[in-house]
Amino acid sequence: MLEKKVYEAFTKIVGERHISQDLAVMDTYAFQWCNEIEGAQRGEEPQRFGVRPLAVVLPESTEQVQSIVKLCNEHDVTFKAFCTGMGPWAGVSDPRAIQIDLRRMNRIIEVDEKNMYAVIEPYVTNAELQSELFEFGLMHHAQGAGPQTAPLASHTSFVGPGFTSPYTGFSARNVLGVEWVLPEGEILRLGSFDHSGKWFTGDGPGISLRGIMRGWLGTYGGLGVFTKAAIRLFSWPAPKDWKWKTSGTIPDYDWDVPPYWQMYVLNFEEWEEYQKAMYELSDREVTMVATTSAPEGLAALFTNTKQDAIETIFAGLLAKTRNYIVMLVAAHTQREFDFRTKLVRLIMEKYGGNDLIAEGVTTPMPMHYGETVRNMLGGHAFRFSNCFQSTHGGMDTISMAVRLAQLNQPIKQKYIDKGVIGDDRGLGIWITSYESGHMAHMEAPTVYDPTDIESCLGYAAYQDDCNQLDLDNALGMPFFIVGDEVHNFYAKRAMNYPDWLRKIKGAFDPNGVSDPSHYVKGVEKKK
Amino acid sequence: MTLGEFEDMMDSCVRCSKCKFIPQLVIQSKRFSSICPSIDYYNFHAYSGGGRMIVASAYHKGRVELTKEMLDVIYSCTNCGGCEVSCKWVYELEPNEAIHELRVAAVEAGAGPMPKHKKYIELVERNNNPYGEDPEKRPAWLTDDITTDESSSTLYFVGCTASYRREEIAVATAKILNSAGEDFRLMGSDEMCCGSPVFRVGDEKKAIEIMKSNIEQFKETGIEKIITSCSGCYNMLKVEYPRFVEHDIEVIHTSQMIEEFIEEEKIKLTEKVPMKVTYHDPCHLGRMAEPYVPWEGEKIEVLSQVFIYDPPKPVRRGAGGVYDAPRNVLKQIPGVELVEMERIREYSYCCGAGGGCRSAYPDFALWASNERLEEAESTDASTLVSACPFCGTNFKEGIESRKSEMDYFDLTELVLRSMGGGK
Amino acid sequence: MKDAIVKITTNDRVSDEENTLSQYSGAYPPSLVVWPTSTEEIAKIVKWANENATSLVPVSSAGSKLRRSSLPKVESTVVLDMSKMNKILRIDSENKVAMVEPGVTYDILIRELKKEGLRPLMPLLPKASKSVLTSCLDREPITTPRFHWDTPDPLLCTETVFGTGDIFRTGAAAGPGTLEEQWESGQAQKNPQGPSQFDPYRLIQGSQGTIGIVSWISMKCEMLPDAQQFLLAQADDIEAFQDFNYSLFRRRLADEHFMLNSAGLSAALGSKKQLPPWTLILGVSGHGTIADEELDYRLGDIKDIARDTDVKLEENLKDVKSSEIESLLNRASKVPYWKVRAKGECLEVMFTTTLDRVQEFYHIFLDFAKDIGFPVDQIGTYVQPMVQGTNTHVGFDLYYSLDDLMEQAIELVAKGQKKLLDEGAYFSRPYGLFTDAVFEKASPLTVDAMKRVKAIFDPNNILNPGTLCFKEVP
Repeated sequence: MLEKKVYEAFTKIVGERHISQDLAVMDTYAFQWCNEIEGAQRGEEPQRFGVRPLAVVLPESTEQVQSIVKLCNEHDVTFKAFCTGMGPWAGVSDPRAIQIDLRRMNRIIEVDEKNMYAVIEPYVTNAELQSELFEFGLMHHAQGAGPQTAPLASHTSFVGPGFTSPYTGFSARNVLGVEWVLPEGEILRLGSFDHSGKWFTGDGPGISLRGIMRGWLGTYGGLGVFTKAAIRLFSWPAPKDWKWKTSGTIPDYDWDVPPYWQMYVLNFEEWEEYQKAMYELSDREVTMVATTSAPEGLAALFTNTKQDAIETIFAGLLAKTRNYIVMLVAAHTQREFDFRTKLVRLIMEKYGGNDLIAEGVTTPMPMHYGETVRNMLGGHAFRFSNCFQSTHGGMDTISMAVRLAQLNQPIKQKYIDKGVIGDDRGLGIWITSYESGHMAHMEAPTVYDPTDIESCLGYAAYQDDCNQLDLDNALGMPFFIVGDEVHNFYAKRAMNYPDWLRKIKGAFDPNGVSDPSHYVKGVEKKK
Repeated sequence: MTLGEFEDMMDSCVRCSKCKFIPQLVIQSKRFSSICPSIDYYNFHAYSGGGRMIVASAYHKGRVELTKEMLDVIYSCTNCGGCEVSCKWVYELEPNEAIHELRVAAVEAGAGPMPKHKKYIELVERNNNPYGEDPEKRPAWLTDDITTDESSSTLYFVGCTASYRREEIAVATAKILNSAGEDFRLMGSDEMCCGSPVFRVGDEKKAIEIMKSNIEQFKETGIEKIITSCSGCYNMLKVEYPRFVEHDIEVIHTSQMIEEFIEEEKIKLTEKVPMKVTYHDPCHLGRMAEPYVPWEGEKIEVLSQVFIYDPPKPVRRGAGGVYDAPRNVLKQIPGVELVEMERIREYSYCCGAGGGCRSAYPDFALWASNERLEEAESTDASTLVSACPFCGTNFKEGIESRKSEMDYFDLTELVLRSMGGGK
Repeated sequence: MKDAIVKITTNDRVSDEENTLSQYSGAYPPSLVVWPTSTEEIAKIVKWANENATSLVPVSSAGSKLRRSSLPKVESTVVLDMSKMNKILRIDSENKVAMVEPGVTYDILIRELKKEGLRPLMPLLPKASKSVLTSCLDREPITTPRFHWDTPDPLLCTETVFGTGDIFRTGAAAGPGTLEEQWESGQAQKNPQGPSQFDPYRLIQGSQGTIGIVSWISMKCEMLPDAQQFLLAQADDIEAFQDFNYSLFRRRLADEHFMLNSAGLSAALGSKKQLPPWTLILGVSGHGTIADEELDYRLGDIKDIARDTDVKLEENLKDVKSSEIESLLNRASKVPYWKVRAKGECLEVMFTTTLDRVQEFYHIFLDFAKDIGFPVDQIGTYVQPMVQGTNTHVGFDLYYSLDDLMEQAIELVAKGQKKLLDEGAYFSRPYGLFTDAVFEKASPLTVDAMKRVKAIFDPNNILNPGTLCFKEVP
């Protein structure tokens, strides 16, 4: 329990309705997906309940966040803020910690239609933002975590691949001005916002403080609280009078596909041809989506229930599917559509591929077009066992992604043979390219059973093996190389980078109150 | 089921927050993206479908005790089932069912339900209705021009709210039945509460007693068909009763009955009712009205860690609710223009009254009705229509509190008006 | 001092001769110039400087310095002339990337990239002696906003010696693994972010040599066009292009996309033609399979947008042919540098804004020039959309000569910038005396945060002291 006077001080900031220390309420913050994996990796018994915060506060403004953070410094209370809060990194690690739930800060502050950016608060979700942007003919880059998660979290704090990445890039690269409550409670405003209240760039004057803000992975909430962010927007390729419209009943909705949209699943017998095609399709900017998964994954992408997905697998999908790219040509005009679809066909032919949709192997319904652009397809992987998690994650080139996929297969197969993870014959991966093919990343979504201890331990061991593989073979840094211990594991082969992180942490969080569990502890921590 | 039987399910929540929103594909605006009045009002994660599953899990594992605040968490849920519709888009989880089991467990532990609930349960036991009204006055709404036939095997089960609070619905229903020439009987002062308010707050033992007693009464009086004008009663009789008490009585809702009458030309909607209306799907007539289909079979591991059910297990997603009947009826009323809200059918937003919230958490219930009314107003409709007296009561209060210019009518009232007031 | 540096390098790569030093002289002449040839040498020099409280200024581009950022601002500085590190370390056409040392200039890089079917993402007519690496580190805007995804583009990974003397590779290049191991695994140092949870490339870039000394960078390139066409439009006011520009940004149809006023275009062309007040320049291309059809579709859609937004696109204007424009692009400036060719001297004013405010700032500046008595027809203006149109670089070049209009030019730069600053122009890359005004406009916390960063990477303030908000000296 927090001391009475400390609790009262927090109460004074947010009001009685917006603070709790009830254990049951706290447990809904201690419980996180993948706590069982991180626990297993630490040698603990796998379970979803992690560390319980001492209190949860629900601020409604930046000023309230600032007061909370200052109070944490004053009373030596650790804090972790989150938006929707999904995953162990959202939870607290210190027994003397509070959780800052940013749910009440949920406004879209501004949409600058011309200069193509939106200013958002933490609890605006991807689906919400997207639905408000159509009238401007715009869309944003939504992270793969799903439409119900917060774009601010991804843009300021957490990785950032998405299904539309070839067209909309990577979250970290789409951030403009930011409002940021530093770990000591000062409010930092980045770039032009600090200067003139306009959000169009977060860089300068001179150096860009985005350099300490998040890096590639994000600080996972370990360096203060982001209260507003301007993020870049992109053209939504549909006519002005088009509206997001669904009809029908769950789970088989219908959706109005805009004109000039066409999905493909281009399939290539060998990785070599796949790789060449992926490079060329990405470079030529013909597709909004360039996603690769396992044949089993394809079964889940374009079905609406687990039963249908399994039936599709056993109906022969696997035999006809090799290395494929799910693509969405989403053009603005007939002319653009004609060019792109022709080029897709030529590239497919050039590398000896075939289109699994044209051949009837898989059939995306109109609603699957909608699910694709609403970033819902990743969620389909949860259907198999209510749970999956991804390993690897290195991000550089398409060729590295392919090599990673190849080297991953035998390792994954080992754990499939043990019966502890889902059987995708070791082929379960996700590859996407970014920024018209300038980058790519590969991760390996893997199904496991969170209610089965052996499965949790098995998945955790598989992830450890993957981390080791990437380390040994210079295959980039996996997503979850965060937190002091794990950083140390990678430090030597990566220029001792954690030393710099620790200095940044020390300089901006001298009291060490911004939860360091998925970032680092600072060198100058006074505590 | 017991809470223990939900353990795997509770442990499988990934805390993704989908349960807070309507199914993601159908979101059309930020304003109306939510599905859960409780999380919207209280904001702590514990007040969402997933949050309550975690609370249930924590309680089951002995991590927490039933504190006052935890009881608030458990009981400030309208049990509307919205969370479950959104969750099942992806997961094989049943948060709404788990919440119910948690309430049952709270009652078994002697902590639940809330004092206001206990009070109305007492009233149900004493007076056969939760309002504490005189059982003898139950049929007081009956007017002289309504004909009933006590020998009929068709029962109009009026329900407590229409009997005592929203008599106009009872009157309209009876008059429509008369106009259609359909014989029906009433239980009159012998009508007993359907058990919904008792069941929903987790007093399953007493609720089952009520169910049994009711079914016994129905059987004794030779009832073969029940018509309800209340979504809550409909849900109990049609969906919940068969889980606990065997019966083969046909149960239909007034909206279905009217649709049938129109189709069979038993009634004619001739009078113009010039108004732009929007229709609110009551949770208990909508997603919660989908029956449980009994299933027997086995769980087979078809791929490592991936199980399916043989034969396929029916999934109660909310698609099987009564959605089209009320709309079809509205569309046939001359002069009525039906415009839809953003949240409809299985992803309709709850009015806020259900699950015992209107009695124990009136501020919350009123706030939720205001939320829904704002959505109704955003359609530019002049009138909100629904098919549940309990929703109606909450909406009427909401309309008054926000000084809305909107009118509220039950579907039966508009039908009666279009029939020229009935026979 | 010299002996110590000679010990690290070799005698022939260190100079304290006065006429050499004078070429690098800023507020003060340096004490020494050294030409390092390896990262290790740089690291040793930096460590030595830390131990001996000596300031270091890295210089990569040869010749005169308009912005004077790499000239010593304090006494007893050692200049590191990076020009001997001039190798193109790697070109990877599949991954559209080049890796270059500081001494590589644009013309050489363009030539080598061409052999591999690539072209660099580059600024408009850089100086012939301009270091490609420096240009990337300075956030010099590129002419092709479609390929500009984030402010740092085209800069990707770097190898940097921080002010502490630590050698660090930024981005994916950090590891795991050596560069050779990474190449073996299919990597090409394409991901500039990280490593891990910080982005040192964003700190090094724009720092004007105050955070680290960079020994190589990898940089984004694009495929060489197989079919290309340039289109031009003219207008009296830049605002006339606004709807067209905003529509076009969304579609990413054109490669080159910028605007010049008559003085600017005239200076770039090196001719004194009668030019329209504003010229819009578009380069459109296709490459690879059905390149011609790609060009056709892009041109077709661009022309439709132009028609809808009342912009008349032409291959040749009355006084400017697109072939002339084409000849300005994808190459370095001829010597002398185009900005000083006409009058001998040039002062630059540059800031970032959004396109919809450019006209406003333009008029503010021109009105000010009129007040001061600086001829507006000697103010070249370059408007370069960046980050796919999200924001815009505006550059005013004041052409003057030492014996004519110098005072007015200096006054205009000083007061005009202040006026622009007050009106909301954002000086994201501040240079010279005006820098202090920019940081005064910033909140104290921003300055404090930057100083905290500086203290991590250059705790003894040995790197280019007196630059940006970093006033402390070793």
